[in-house]
Amino acid sequence: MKKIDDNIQEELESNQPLDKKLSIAMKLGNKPYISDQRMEANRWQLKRTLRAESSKQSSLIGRFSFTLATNKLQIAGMFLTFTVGFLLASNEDVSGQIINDEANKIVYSKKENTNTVDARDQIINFKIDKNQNSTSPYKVKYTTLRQTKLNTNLEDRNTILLLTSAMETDLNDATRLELVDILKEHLENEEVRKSLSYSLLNDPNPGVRMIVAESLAKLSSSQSVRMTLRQALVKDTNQGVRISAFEGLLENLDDETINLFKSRSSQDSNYYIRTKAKSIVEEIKQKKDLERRSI
Amino acid sequence: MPEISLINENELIIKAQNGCISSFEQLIKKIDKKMLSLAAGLASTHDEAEDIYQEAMLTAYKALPKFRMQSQFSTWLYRIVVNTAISSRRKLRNKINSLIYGHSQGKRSDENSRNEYGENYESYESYTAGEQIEEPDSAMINQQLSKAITKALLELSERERVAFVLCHQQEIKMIDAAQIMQCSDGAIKNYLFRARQKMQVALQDYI
Repeated sequence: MKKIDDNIQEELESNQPLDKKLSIAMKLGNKPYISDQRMEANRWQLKRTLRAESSKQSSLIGRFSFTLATNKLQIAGMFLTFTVGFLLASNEDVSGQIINDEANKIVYSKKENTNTVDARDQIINFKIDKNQNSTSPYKVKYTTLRQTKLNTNLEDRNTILLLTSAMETDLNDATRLELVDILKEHLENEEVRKSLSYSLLNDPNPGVRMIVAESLAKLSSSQSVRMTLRQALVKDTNQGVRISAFEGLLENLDDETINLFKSRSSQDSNYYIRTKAKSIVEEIKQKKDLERRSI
Repeated sequence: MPEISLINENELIIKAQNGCISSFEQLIKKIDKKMLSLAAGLASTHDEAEDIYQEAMLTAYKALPKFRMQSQFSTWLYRIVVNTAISSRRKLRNKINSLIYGHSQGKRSDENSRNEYGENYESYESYTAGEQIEEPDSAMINQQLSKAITKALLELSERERVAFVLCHQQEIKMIDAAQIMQCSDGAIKNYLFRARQKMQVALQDYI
């Protein structure tokens, strides 16, 4: 092996220009280009896959907790049998016991604390560890999920933050569409504007992006919103979204937008955007000519 | 997004090992583009690259509790992407072999557009093509070069191909590539030497 390595080393050194050439050739001809949009789409796909995988795992525990809630007596009996068997086998004392209370709750009681799992909870990550400590020989660890209803109003900043966070992370397209409907009424809020701008550039669903573009168009007087709309016009892969962004920009024409329209008027792939941008640019040019003549 | 420091990375790894999906997502966000780029370098089509990436990330998430932090997280993740790409190609090869049983291998009906598995030579967009900054002539040359490289890469053995893509395309140091491929530096040099010889012959019109 050493002999081969030495030979290779010599060849490598003598072939240095070839290495460079090959590296350049690989970069020029073969290095993959990963656009932000493609990466974002892959992140969303992975998000879905990971959550589906996680819920597949937790559904086993969920089923277990459902069985616990419905067949309380049987399960309590099984648990007691298991515990007694386990204790006999390990020949140790247990300080905790599992009992069934009257209010449909599975209760795990220790000497001092009582941890309660509500029947409405979904248990995930259920784990029993054995402790060295003789006073509490077993440790039960679990996490619960529960659907929560909030009594709040949209004037509350925390509620808006919760909704904007859901807008950026919720995996359900229908929920995000509903959220746009709610949030578009609160465009005066900066958090809402930021969240919708993020969605316009990153949401994987073109339907959501299009509604967001239409909503943001109402606020095209804002410089930051115009910047987002311009980015969507240039980068979005969906024609509908691009047209919505374009129409939003028509409401407030600034110098940067006009410059963008100039380039779009010749190179945009969409006929409507191309012709409309061209006519607007010409209109502006004629106006300027008239002004010059009148001066 | 701020850089993830080592301490922070370890914390995220521990959280992700306990099943925290968002910690895992944060952990990979810094390097996911490189992983997808590597998958694209080892795959023949966009769809295959994305399948490899998704499968590798899911495998990594599932296998994370076994990660003992003895190597860098990124090296470990690179290794998973490489292994997933290799096993994906093997699966594809077996599937195609079983479909075209009896058909003599090596005789390809359309040698310019299909590889030995019957796949189209559809490489990922090159950097320059993606940035759309080329003149039409150079774009065409690069397109031809891209096809020639993709075709030449398919002539390499599995490990030669991985070594070549890691070191020449992804610009990973030889020592790191050796860790990813779980072999010695000498072996990597060996793979690269053979790969370069084959590539030189295949790309003689371009370099």
